[in-house]
Amino acid sequence: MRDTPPEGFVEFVVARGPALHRTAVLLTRQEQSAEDLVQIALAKAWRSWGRIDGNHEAYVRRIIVNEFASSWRRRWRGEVSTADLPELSRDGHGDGDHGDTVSTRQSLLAALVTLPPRQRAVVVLRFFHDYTEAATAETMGTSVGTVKSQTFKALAALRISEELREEPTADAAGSAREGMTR
Amino acid sequence: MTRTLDDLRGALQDEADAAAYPDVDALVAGARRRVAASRRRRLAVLGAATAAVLVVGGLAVTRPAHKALPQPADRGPFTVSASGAGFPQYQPGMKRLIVVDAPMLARTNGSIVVPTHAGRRLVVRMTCTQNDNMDNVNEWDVRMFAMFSALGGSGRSSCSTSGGFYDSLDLAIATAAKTTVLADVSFNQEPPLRPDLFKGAKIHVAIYESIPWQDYPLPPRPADMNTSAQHAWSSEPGTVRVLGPTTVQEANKPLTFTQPFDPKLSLNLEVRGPGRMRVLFDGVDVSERIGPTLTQDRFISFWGYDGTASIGLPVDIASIGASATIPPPLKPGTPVTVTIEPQEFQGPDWRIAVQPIPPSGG
Repeated sequence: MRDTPPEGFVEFVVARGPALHRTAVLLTRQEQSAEDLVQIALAKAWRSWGRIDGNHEAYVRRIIVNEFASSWRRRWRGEVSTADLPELSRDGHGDGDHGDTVSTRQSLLAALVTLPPRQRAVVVLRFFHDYTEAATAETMGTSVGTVKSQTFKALAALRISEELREEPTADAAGSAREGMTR
Repeated sequence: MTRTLDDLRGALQDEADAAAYPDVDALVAGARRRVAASRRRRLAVLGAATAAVLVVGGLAVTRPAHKALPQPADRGPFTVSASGAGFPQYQPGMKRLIVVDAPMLARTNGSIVVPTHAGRRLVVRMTCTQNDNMDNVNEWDVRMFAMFSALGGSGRSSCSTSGGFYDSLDLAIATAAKTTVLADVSFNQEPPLRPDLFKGAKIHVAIYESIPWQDYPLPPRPADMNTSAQHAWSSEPGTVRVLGPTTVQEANKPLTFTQPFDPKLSLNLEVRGPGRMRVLFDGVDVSERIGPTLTQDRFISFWGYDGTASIGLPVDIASIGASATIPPPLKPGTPVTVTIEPQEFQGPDWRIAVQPIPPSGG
C-alpha cells in the first residue's frame, strides 16, 4: 500500500487546499462536509497524481464539483434541504441599506441550500469562481447549453431579478428538459 | 427587495470568507486514510460479488421498443449478471430489478429493458471492477462519462468509491409495465493512458424501483435503542423545545402543536428508525414537498435503524411556492399549527426539535 503521498502532493495541499476548501464550503455549506468532500477529491487525485497533466487545482476542483453534483447526498445527521426557499421578509429586518444587504445575502445563502446539487455547483463556478460558461461546462462534464439552462433555473429559484438574467436559448431549454432529474 | 447578481456574488464571497481555515494536515491525513479504505472496500466488494449467486428471474435485456429514443439500437455489450455484482436486493424503499454487466470499452452503450410498475421511481447504481487491481478506479472516474436515461430523465453516474445507496442516480418515474433504460458510458482516451487501464475491467449497473411500504422488508428494532450511543438523540445548543413520543404506545399518535413563526428558527424533524409520516402546516400537507428521495407514496418515509435522519423545515414552508401564487411571508410571531401524523413506527423513534437555524458555513 502506498502510504506516502506522491511527490508534490503535500505541497499542493498546503498551497491550494484552502482555496479548494472554499469551493467545497460553498457547495456543501457545512464545514465538516466540505472537509470530507475535499478529502475525497484529494484521495482520488492521489492515485492519479503522476498522470495529471497540467493544472492540478483545476483537476481536483473538477473532482470536487462532480463528486458533489453526481453523488453527494443528504447525510445521516446532516443537513437536509427543503424543496423551496424562504422568501425575503417584506417587513424588513435590517437597519438601512447595510441591513438590507446583509438580509439579502443571508436569504440568498439560505436559498442556495435549496438548489439541486448541479444547480448549486453551476452557481458556485459561475458566480464565485467567475468561470465562463464553457469552463463551467468543461469542469462539470456537460454542455454549454445545459450550463445555461441550469444557470437560468438556479437564478430563477434564487429569485435574482429577472432583468439581470439571460433568457435561455431554445437549445438550452431543450437541454434543461434532458437534464439531471435529481 | 430586488436580488441582484452582485448580491449573489457578495453572498458567496461572505460565505467563503466566513469559513474556517482548513487544517491541511487533516486534509492530507484524510486523503491517505481514504485511499487505504477505498482499496480495502473494493477488495471486499469483489469478494462478495464472487461469493454471491443470485438469480434474477423473469428479467431480460432485449431490444428497445421505444422508437423515439435517440440511441442505442440494441442491448449492446450488457448481459444480465448472474451474481448481482454485490448490489443488495433492497435499498431504502426500493427493490433491485436487474443487474447487468459489460466489459469496460472505450464506449459502452446499450438498452436495458426492465419490467416496471407505473408510478414507481427508478434509480440506477453503478460500480466498476477490475479483478484485484484497484489503482485504476479513480482514473476511470476522472476519465469516465457515464450517462443513463429513461423516459425523459437522465443523469450521470461514476465508478464512485463511496458506494452505497446515497450514490444512486434518480432517473425517472415509470409509466408502464416495461421501461427502457439507455446506458452510454465512454472514456476520455487522451494520453497518458496507462496500458492496463481497461484490461479485464467491467461495468456493473443495477436498476432499482421504489416499492410500496408493505412490500419492503423492514429490519427488527434493535434491543439497544435506548442505550446505544448510535441511536441517541443529539442535543443541539439553543434548542427551544422538543416534542414527540416517549413510549411505544405514543409512537403512532398524531401530534399537533403551535409554533410562533420566527425566521431564525426551524423545525428539525429527527427520525432514527423506520416509519412514515405526514407533516401539515396550518392544515396543509407539505409531505410531498420535502423531496422525492424522502417522500414515497405521499408519506415522508424512513426505512432503517442505521442512523438518524435530520430534516430542517422552515416554519413558513406552507406559504412558499411558485412565485405567482405565494402569499406574503409570515410575520414574526404568527402562530403556525404543525401536525405530525406518524404511521408504522415500531417505537418512539421520531421527534421534533425547534432549533436555531445554523449559521452559514457552520
